[in-house]
Amino acid sequence: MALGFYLLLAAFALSAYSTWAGASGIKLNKNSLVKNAQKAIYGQFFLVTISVVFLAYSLITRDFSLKYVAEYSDRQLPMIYTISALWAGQAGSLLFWAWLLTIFNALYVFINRNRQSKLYPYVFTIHSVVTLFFLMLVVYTSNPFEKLPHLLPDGYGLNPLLQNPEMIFHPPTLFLGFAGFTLPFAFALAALIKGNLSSEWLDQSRNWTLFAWISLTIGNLLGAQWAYVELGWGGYWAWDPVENASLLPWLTGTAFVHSLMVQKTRDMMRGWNVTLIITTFLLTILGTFITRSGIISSVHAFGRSNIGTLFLVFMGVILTVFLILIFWRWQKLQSKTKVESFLSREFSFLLNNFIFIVLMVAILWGTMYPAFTEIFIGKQIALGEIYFNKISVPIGIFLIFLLSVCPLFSWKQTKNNKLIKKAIIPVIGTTVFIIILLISGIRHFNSLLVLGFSFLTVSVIFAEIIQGAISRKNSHQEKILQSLRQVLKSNVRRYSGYLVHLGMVMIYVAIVGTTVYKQEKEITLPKGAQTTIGDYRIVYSKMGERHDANKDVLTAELVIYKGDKKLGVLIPERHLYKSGMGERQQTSEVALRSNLKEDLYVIFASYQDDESATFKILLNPMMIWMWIGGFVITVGVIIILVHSIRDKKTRSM
Amino acid sequence: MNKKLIIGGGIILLVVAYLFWSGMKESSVYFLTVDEFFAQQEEFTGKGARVNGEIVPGSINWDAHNLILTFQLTNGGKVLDVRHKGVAPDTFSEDVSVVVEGKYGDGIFHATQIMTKCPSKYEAKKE
Repeated sequence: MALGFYLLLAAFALSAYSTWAGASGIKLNKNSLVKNAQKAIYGQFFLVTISVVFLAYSLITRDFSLKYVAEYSDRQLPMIYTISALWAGQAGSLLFWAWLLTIFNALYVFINRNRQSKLYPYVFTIHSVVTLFFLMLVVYTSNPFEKLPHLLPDGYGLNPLLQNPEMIFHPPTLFLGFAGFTLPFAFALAALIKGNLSSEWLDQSRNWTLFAWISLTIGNLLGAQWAYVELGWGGYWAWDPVENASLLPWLTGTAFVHSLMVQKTRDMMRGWNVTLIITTFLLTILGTFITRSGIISSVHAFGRSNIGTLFLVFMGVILTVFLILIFWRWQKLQSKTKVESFLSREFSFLLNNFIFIVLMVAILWGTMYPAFTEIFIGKQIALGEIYFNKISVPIGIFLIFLLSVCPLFSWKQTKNNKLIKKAIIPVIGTTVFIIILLISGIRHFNSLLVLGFSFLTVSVIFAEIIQGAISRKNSHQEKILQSLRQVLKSNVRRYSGYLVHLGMVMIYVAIVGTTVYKQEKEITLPKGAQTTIGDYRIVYSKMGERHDANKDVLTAELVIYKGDKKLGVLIPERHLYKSGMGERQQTSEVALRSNLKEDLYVIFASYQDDESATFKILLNPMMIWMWIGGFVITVGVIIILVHSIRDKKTRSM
Repeated sequence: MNKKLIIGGGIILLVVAYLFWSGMKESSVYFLTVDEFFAQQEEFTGKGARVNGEIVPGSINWDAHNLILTFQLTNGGKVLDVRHKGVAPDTFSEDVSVVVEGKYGDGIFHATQIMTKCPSKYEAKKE
């Protein structure tokens, strides 16, 4: 499979060529060179695709002469996880990332080949530079086709914790998000270089941005789900550096999808928008740097490697170029308009952006803190969960407050009577809702705030839609349902955005439920004994075993009752993996009983010779709404994307 | 307008600065190996620390009825006795390297949290 490596080498050369040809084509105004650059970009895509296929083929055929195959798979590994091993290791994941970059650039070049955009050659040339960097990493530092000096009979196997359905989808979606932010970044740099800082670059990059954002959102949620079902501690987020690393670009990316609307509508925040998207891009690289360089010790076992230095240099170069460009284009970055009133939509967006940035800086600071203290005082000092919670809880509450009131404001200035008319019913409703919560015994202050603002968000959105439908019904003489449809159709983008907000509210509710109202117990039960949690009665009835191809499984059967009614059985498991050349590793497979109200979550922690077993049992209220919320957000974004692609088509016809 | 904005922004920044400061004060923990810990034992007694080491083979003891886990950590030199109330994490076994977070007192490290080293193999191997 040396061929795979040569293909990558050729792709690397082609990306150097497309960078050069694009740049000199633009400079010398030579169309032939620009055309050659485009061909070279197709070529990169083609070559890297074949080498990815080669690596997949080596994995599937269990070619243990390759170091990568031997390190991340073995003969017993099920086929689906054998394929997922493609992105399980450093070399493979970098190749995968580089592959996504070539796909994005080729797709961009192809879709826009007949459109007249002055930014076009700039964008794919800048994108080529990023592709060049990643292909350089693959070729020079982590070649996935590296041979072992001697042939192994079997591989070391894939880490059992990575043998989980979420792990098939979590890394690729995350990488899709990371790699996807390269195009918007290239657009921003192109706009700066070209000196065209009107909202043209935002119009052209918006769909790519949304795509990257939703991939990152899904990737993060799948990561949380993996931690929840696989790591067996009952939680989904621990402020680990690696988790933070993928949250950081999400925060700035989310700020960006809001602030770009301000520039489009009011031509403000020009400099802010380019800064935000470049920060987002740098944070995706920083995330990779944190996870690969070993600069921060975390739960994740990092070894130090020189690849970190390369990332650092790359980030430094981009930052320098960016600062020079900002300085150079300072005049053109000044917006002509200003915020006129505090009661305006642009001000609420401004505030939203400010808060997102504060949160990002706080998390970045907390994540990098051990590295700073190591440099300055020679000791690594970590900041624990308390630090992160202390900052993210009030900021999170402020964000959901903004989320709930933002739709009440109009652009420029909101008239007082209009604001009151829009707000009165939702505010009354929310007050009633909070009173009901108080009566039903909820006294936790922060929960009341979050649940109250959640209710306010939902009621503001529904009040707006219903009021719109009623006034349309009166003026158009139609049935209310028809008016409702027309109202929703009249501004798909806005109402899909609200759908995304509803999804966020669901996630908020899940966070409150699982953090404030979680119940947890650890207990050792003899066979036949029972315990209770919440309304549930749990009887440990028997232990069993099973032998799979790649693991031995020990099971514990728990019968679940509510009162005297039997609800079903939960069977948590302990897995003892057999691996070709690796060590035997134990993991536990949690058992879950999930409904709209709560998750009953059982971990089979240990067992004794007398068949008594220790369980960790959790009751996580509202947990499922996190995943439903994620689904709703995805639907909202897909509607926006489909709508705007269709819109573009009809406009260009 | 600008004046109000500056005052408002200033207040928010002050609040955030306070949150930063108090959060950092309450949650700072030192990262140490077992040997480093013993070298500065007095300094760290009663203070939050995260100690990293290998489990001494045969030292794991699990009292299922009282849910108490005890084991020993080492980097090859001195040995640290660790006690933890509650079950061990999933991948806890003699072969793995662990990080314990907690406080030292009465000759025992009382771990509030036990973390085993990461599932991802992304990191490059030490050559």
